This record gives sequence, structure tokens and C-alpha cells, in this order.
Amino acid sequence: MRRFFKWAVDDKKENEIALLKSVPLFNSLDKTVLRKLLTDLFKKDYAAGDIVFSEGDMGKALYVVMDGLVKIVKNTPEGDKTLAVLKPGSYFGELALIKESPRFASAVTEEKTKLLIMYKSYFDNLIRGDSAISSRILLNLVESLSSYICVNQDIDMGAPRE
Amino acid sequence: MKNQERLNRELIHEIKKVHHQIPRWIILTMLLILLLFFAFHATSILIILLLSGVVAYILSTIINKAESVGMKRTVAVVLLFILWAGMITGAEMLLSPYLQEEIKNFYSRLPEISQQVEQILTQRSQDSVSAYPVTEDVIRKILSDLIKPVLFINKTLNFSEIFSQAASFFLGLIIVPFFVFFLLKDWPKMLNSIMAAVPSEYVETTVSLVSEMNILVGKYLRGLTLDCALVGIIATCGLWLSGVNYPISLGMLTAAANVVPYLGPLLAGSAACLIAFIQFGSISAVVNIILLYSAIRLMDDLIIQPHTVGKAVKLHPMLLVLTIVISHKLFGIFGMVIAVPFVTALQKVAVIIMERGEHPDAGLAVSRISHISL
Repeated sequence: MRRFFKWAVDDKKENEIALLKSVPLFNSLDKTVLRKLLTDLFKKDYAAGDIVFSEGDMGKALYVVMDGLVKIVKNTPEGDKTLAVLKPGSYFGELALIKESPRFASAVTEEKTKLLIMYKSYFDNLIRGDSAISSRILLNLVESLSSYICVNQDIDMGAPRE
Repeated sequence: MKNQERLNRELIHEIKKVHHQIPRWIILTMLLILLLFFAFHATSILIILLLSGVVAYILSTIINKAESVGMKRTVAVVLLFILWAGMITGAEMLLSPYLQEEIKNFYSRLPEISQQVEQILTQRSQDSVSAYPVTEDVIRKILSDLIKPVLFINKTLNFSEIFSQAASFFLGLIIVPFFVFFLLKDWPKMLNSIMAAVPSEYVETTVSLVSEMNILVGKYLRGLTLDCALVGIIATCGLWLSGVNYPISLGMLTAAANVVPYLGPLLAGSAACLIAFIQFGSISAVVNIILLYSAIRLMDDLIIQPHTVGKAVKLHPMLLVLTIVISHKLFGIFGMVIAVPFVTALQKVAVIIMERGEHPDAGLAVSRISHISL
């Protein structure tokens, strides 16, 4: 049956869907939902050295790295400090989905990069329309945030207090 | 490398500052003037483009759904067109005999109808004059005003005009699906090239605007289509049950006219009343139709519209009148039907832009941020 309908099946997106499946935020979402996200969300190709957003910008979107590398840079009194270099399958700017707040750090592409952009109003609409998908994503988001809190607490505990 | 990044950031700061210096209303006014200028010089192509855009937009939901279950976009579009053609053929086979008969009947009876109207009105006026002789002059004046348009329509309906209108209609019937097909098939590619042209610092602003527009305008257009279809079906059933002639044509007219708030239902109702008056020659039949259309209006306002279009998306009455007058002047009746939802959608876009104007820090102003949280 599947072989019979092979001409109608879109195989080109399989790689991108596999990549989305590996993104922790979209963990345990089924293929149809991932395909829907891939169809609905905006994609943008960046050249090397492009600024995706700057520290302090109001954040309204989440980005998923589909291809290339993105460097997260924080401006400190000692100069720019690289916090992380994100590979395909990583995401950043997730706090923007919960609340519009200033970006904590800047995101700059290291090489030619393709990003998938999820805008806050799309996510809000998803929450209103499809509670199963949004609760799954929210749960994954909470998990990732709780890991941040743990990491920050560890840093605070370890850091000498003034 | 660090210096280069700093320079880049300073450059973006400067661009953003310049962006803030130009008041938004100037940009909007300029865009509006440009649009009107274009509209004035290329009305028919603009209507076709607008109509194709609206149809493609409404159908894109189905294509996106098919794509999310793993179907190739091109295959989904082709299948949709085959389905569409099938549905039109089916509907034509089912409705066409009745519709053709209705139209043929109406055109062949037009001279007779106008005579009938004249006769009925003259008869009624004579009755009124004999009852109230004082009103004679007033009644005669009203009567001549009423009969004039009927005779005018009768005289001006010549075949060359009908033929030229039918030709442009059929041209549209071929061009619109052609545009819709390619808009549906190539939209992701078009969107990618648009996104590629957007400078990276404006990506979030662009995506935010398009996303919000997409949600609001999409909801409105899909809701409006469903609303009009339901109103048309109810009107057809109601007219058919009341025994009025041409129920399908009148139902279709009611559905199309429903796009234009207030004025549309009034016009469709008047047409139905006129037909009923000619057919039955009694005021009670007209009252019945008025009651039917009032009931449809109430049902639409209280039950159908809140569930389909929603209350949030409505054109301001002042803007509505302006739209109707200008679009009628520019594009005629057909343009008016398309212009109303288009301007309603445009109003929504303007509201989003204004809201961003009130909160300029939404994705743009870097310099005003005084605190940073995680």
C-alpha cells in the first residue's frame, strides 16, 4: 500500500523531521506534528557572521538550528564572552515563548546557517488550538528551564559570596 | 573579529534610529497613495490578483494539512484541483438545470416583469389616490421614479454588453484558478525568497507581523467564507419553502452580498422582496420575505457570525462606508465585494502596526532597555 502511494509521499523532508525529532523541546511529538511545525514555521538562511539578535533586544521568537553553527555571546566588562556554540538540533531564545523579555545574550552565526523560527503568537495559538501538542512542548520547556535553575544554583553555591 | 562585531552592532543601532525617526503614519499614507494609484490604473488585474490571493489563502489550510500528513505539496495541489473540478462539475450537473432555467426564465420575462411592476404600481397608486386624493401628486412622482429604473434596466440590457461582461467573467474564471494553482504550489519558495531578502536584524519584526496577520486574517477570511455559505444555504431553503421564484440565484446573491455588511443583506433582501412582489403581487408576500431576511440577519448576527468570523474582526462603520464608496467607484460592484474583506484585513494589519508603534521596544529599540533578566 505504502509503495503504491510512494509517488505522493514527500521524502525530502525526512532528514529535517529526523533533526526536529532530536530537538529536546520537540521530544516525543509525533511525525505529523513535526511535519506541521516544519510546514507552518518560518525558515531563514543566514550568512556567516550575521547577527540573529542582539543582547537586550526584546525577544519574541524561538530559534532551532537546522544547519550550521550559532554562537551565543554575552557582553561582559571584560569583553565579549562566548557562552555556547550551538549545532544543528539545538534551540535558543526559548524564554521568548513564555514572556517577551530582553535577550540575555546575542546570537551570531558562525558559518552559513539555516534557522527555523517559532514566533510567540504562533505558539500562543497552538496552546489555544491543540492542547496535547502545546502541553508536551511546555513540559519539555519546563524541563529545560529546571535544568538551567539547577545549573545556576550550582554556580551560586560554588561561587564565593561577597 | 570583535571590533567587526561592534561595528556591525553600531551600524544596526544607526539603522534602527533612522527607522524610528520616520513617523509610521507617513509610511502608511505613502503606501496607501501608492496602492490607490496602482488600483486606479490597473483595476481589473488588481481584482484578479486580489481574488486569487484570497482564494489561495483560504485553500492553503487544506494544502498545509495534506503536507503535514506527508503528502508532496504539488501532489496535494493537483489533487485539490481535481477534487474542486469534480465538485464544480457535480454542482453544475445538480444545480445547472434549475439555475439555467431560472436565468433564462428571468431574462425572457424581463419586459413582462417590468410591465407587471408598472401595472401593479399604477393600480395601487390609483387605489391610494381614490382613497386619499390629496396625495395624488406625491404618489405620481414616486411612481415615475420607481418605474424609471425598471424601464432603464430593460432598455440597457443589450446583448453586446452582456457578452462583453460574460467574456471578462469567463476570462477571470480561467485566470484566477491559474494564479491560485501557482500561488498554492510555489508559496513556500516565494516565502523563502522573501525571507532571504529580509535583513537579519528585521527578521523577528517581519516574522512577528506576518505571524499575527496570518492568524487574524486567516481566521477572518475562512470564517467569512463559511458564514456566507451558511447564510446562502439558509436563504435558498427559506425562499424555496416560501415558494418564491429563483431561490438558488437569490440564495447565491444573498451569500455574495453578505460579504458587504449592512448594505449587502439589505440589497439581497430588496431583490428577493421585488421578485416576491412581482410573483405574488401582494404586500403580504413582501412582508414574509422581510421577516425571512430579518430572521436570517438575526441568526447570522447572533449565532453564525460569533462562531465563524468572531466579534473581534469587524470594519469600523466609517471605514466601511468609505470602502464601499471608493471601491464601488474604482472597481464596480464586484470590486466592492472583494474590497470589504480586503480592507477589513488591512485594518487588522494597521492595528498590529499601531500596537507595535505604541510599544516600539517590541523587537526594535535596543537603546531603551534598562534591565536585563534571564
